[in-house]
Amino acid sequence: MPEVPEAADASIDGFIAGLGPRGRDLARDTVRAALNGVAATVAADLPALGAPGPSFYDHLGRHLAPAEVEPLTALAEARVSDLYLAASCLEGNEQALTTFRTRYAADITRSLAQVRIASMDADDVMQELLRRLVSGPNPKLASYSGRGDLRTWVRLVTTRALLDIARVKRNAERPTDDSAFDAVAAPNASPELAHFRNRYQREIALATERAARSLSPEERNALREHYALGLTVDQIAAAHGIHRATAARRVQRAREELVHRIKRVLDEDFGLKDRDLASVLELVRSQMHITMERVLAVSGP
Amino acid sequence: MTKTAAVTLASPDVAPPPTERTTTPCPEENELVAFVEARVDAEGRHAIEVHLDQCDACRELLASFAQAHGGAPAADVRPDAAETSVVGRYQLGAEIGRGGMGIVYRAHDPVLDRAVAIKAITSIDPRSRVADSSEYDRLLREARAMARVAHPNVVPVFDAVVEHGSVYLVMELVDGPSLRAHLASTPALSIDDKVALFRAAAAGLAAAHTANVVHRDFKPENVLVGRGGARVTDFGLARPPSKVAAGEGPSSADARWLSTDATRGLAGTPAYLSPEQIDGAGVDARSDQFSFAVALFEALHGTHPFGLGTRGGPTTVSELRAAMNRGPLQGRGAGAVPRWIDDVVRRALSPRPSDRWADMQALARALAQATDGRARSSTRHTAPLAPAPRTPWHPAAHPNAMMRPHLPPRTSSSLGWVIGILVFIAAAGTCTAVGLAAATGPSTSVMVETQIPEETTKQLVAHGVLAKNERPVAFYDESSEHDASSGFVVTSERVSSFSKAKTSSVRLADVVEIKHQSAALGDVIEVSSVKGDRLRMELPLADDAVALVDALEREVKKKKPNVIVRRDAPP
Repeated sequence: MPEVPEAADASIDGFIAGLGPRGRDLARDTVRAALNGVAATVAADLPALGAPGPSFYDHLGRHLAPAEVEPLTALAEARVSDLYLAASCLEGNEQALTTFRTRYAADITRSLAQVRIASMDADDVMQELLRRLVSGPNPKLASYSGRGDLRTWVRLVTTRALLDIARVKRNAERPTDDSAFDAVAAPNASPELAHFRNRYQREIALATERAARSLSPEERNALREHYALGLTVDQIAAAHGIHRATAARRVQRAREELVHRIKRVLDEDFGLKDRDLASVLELVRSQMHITMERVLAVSGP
Repeated sequence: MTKTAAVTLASPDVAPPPTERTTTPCPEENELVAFVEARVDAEGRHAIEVHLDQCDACRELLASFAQAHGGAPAADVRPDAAETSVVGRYQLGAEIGRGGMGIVYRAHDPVLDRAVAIKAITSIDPRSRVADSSEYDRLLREARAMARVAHPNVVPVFDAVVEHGSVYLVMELVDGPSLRAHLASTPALSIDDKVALFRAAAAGLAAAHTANVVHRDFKPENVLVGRGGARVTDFGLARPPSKVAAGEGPSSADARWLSTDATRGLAGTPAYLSPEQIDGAGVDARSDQFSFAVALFEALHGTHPFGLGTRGGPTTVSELRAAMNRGPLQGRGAGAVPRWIDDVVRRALSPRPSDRWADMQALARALAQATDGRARSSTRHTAPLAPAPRTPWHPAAHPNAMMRPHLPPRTSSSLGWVIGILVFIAAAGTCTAVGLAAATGPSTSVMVETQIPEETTKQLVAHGVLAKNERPVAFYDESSEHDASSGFVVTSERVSSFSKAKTSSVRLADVVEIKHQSAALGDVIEVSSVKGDRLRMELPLADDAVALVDALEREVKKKKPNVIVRRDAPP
C-alpha cells in the first residue's frame, strides 16, 4: 500500500466548508483522522489517480451535507472511491476516464445485450452512452449520490436509457395487442376442461381480474415478473433487493392467494359450486401463465 | 453517429416520461440503486413496489436490470421475517436480533410447545447472489458439531432447517442481554464479577474446542447473559478468513477504514479478530483465545488493548495489525486491574499463537487462580502465570490428591502439556519406561504407554489399595515415594483414589469421563485402550509430530536421565 500523507489543512477546511453549518461543531482532529481514512481508501482503490485535493473534499462535504445521519457517519458509509472517480471523470481527468471505461465497459455491454435495439450499432450506442454519462452540458454522472455502488448505478442508468430508446422505436414500429392472450389456445387441456373453459370464460376472466386487483402491489409485481416476464427467483430477488428465499415465498404465496381469491369470487359472486368450481380451479391452476396475463393487465385497486 | 442521436439519458430532475397509469413519479436512479441494494426502509420499499405495480417502464427496467446483471454487486439482503413466517415446523415470531451472519427470531415449536430462537443465516455470498453449496455444507457441518457440544456455558442448538436456500439454526431462547449490553448497563460490576462472567464464557469455548469447534468470531455480542449465567453462541458461523480476504481483495482489506463510531462501539469492526485472522492465516482454538482476551481486556480496562477507537489509535486494519505486534497498551484501568489478572490476559494477547496459553482451559485456570488470589504472592513480580495442570486421572472430587508439575512459562502449547505428562509419569517414580511412538505422516498424535513395575504392585497390595489378584495399569502417588500415602491407581476394572484415611473407588467408566470434565491434562487424553498392564493414551498434537517428539525426547532425557524413552513405530 502506498504511503498516504496526512490530510492537509486545506483539505480539512474544504471538507468543513462543504458541509456548511453541519461542519461547524466538528473537531479538526476527528475530521483529519476521517480524511486520512478517505485518502487511504482512495489510494488503495484508485492508485493511478493520485491523492484527492481540497476541491474534492469540498465536493465530498457538499455531498454529505444533506445526509440524515451525522456527517462523519455518512462519510463512513459513503462510497468515497466511487465519488472520487466520478468527480475526476467530470473534471475531464484522462486517467479517471480510462479507469471508468475499463471498469464499467463490461456492465454497459451486458445492458446492451439485454436490451437489443434493432438497426443500431452496438459500438455506437456504447460510445454515445459513455459520452452522455461523463460529458456534455448535463452529464449524468453528476447525479450519482455516492451512497450506492457506482457499478449498480451504471447498470441501472444504462439499462433505463436503452429501454427508453427501445420503447420509442417499438411504439413507432408495432402497436401492442393487449387482447393477444385471449386467443392463446389452452395447451394440453382435456376435452372436459376445454368445455369448462368455454362455458365459464367470462366468469374466469372477471374473477381473475378481481382477485388480482385485491392482491398487494408486491404480490402482483412478483407474479408478473415470474409468469409474464419469465424472471427466475434469483432475478426477482435481485430486482427488488430481497433475499431469494423471500422472493421464492412471495411468488408462491401470491399464487396461492390468487387462486384462493379466484375461488372465492367464483363461489360467492358467480355461484359456482362443487364439481364445476373444482374443475374451473383446476383449469386456472393448469393454465397459470394465461391467468397471469390477466394479472399483468391489472394495476392497483 | 447520426444513428444514435436519439439516445437520451434522463437527468436527475427530468425523470423518464411516466406511462399513462402512473400516479407517482418514476424513482430516480440513486433511489433505485438503494432499492436493489436493500438500503431502503419498509415504507420506502412499499412506495416503490406501488410505483412498480403501476409503471410498466420501471418494472421493465428492473426486470431487464436483473436479467442483464443478476443484481447489485454489493447488495446485502437477508431473509425477511414477514415473508418467511414458517420455517420447518417452527412458527417465526418477532425479530429479536440482527448480526453479521443473519437475523435472529423468536419462534415457537408447536410439537414441544416451547419458545425457541431461530437464526436465519445469510449463507449466500451477497456479491454473487449464488448459493454456494460448499458454504451450506460448511454451515451444516458446524451446526452438527455444535449440536454435539453440551455444556452449561454454550447456548444449545436443537435443530437445523434448510429451506429456500437458507440455513436456519434452532437454538434455545436465552432471555437476557448480550455480554456487551450487560457490561454497559451495569458499570458498577467489580473486577471479580467481570472475570467470573468471562470465566464462564471461557468454559463454554473450551467445551467447544474439545469438540473441535472453533468459534472464529468471539466478541461480547456473542455471549448471552441469562438466568443460566454467561453462555456463548454463534459458533463457527463466521466465514473462514481466507474467503473474506479473497472477496475483498488484499488492497481494500488493508486499507479498510475501521469504524469507530461511538454509537456502534466497536461492533462490526475487526476489533476482536486475531492477528492470524487478519493475515488470512490458519485459524485454530488459539485464535478464539486471542479474541476472548481482547474482549476481557476491554471489559477490565474500558479500552481496546490496541487502542482502537481512541485518539491516535489505529484507523486502518494494517495499522491495527501493526499495533498487535507491539503488544497491548497499558490500559486505562492499569491501576485498578490487578497485575496478576492483567498478566494472564496479556499472555493470551501474544501475536504469535504459540506464545499464548496452551488452551482455553489453561487460560481459565490461570484466571481462576489469579482471581482467587492463590497465585498473588508468587506471581506478583514475575513472569505471567504458568498453567497448573491437574493430573490426568484424578477425579475432580479429590482435589487434595492433585499433583502440580510446573511447566516453564510460554512453552509451545502442545509441547508444554506433553512434557507435563511425561514429567508426571516420571515423577510418579513407579514407571520404568515411557514409550513414545511418533506418529508420522498425516496423523496428529503420539502414543504414550506406561508400565507399572512388579514391586509397585506388591506395595499397593500391601497397602490394601489393590486386591491380590488385581493388576494396575497406571498409578501415581503424590509423594513420589514408594510408600504411597495418597494417590490413585487405575486397573482394568476401576480407578481407585486413596489416602491414609480412606479409600474410595471410581469405576473405570469414570476415567473416560475425566477427559471431558477435567480442566487439565486429562481432557486431551483419550483412554483408547486398557489392556493388561498397559494403558495407552492418545495425545493430539497441534504441531509437527516428529519435531515435537524429538523435542520431547531431549527434554525428558535432560530432566529425568533415569527414564527410558522408547520410540516405536505406531502400532
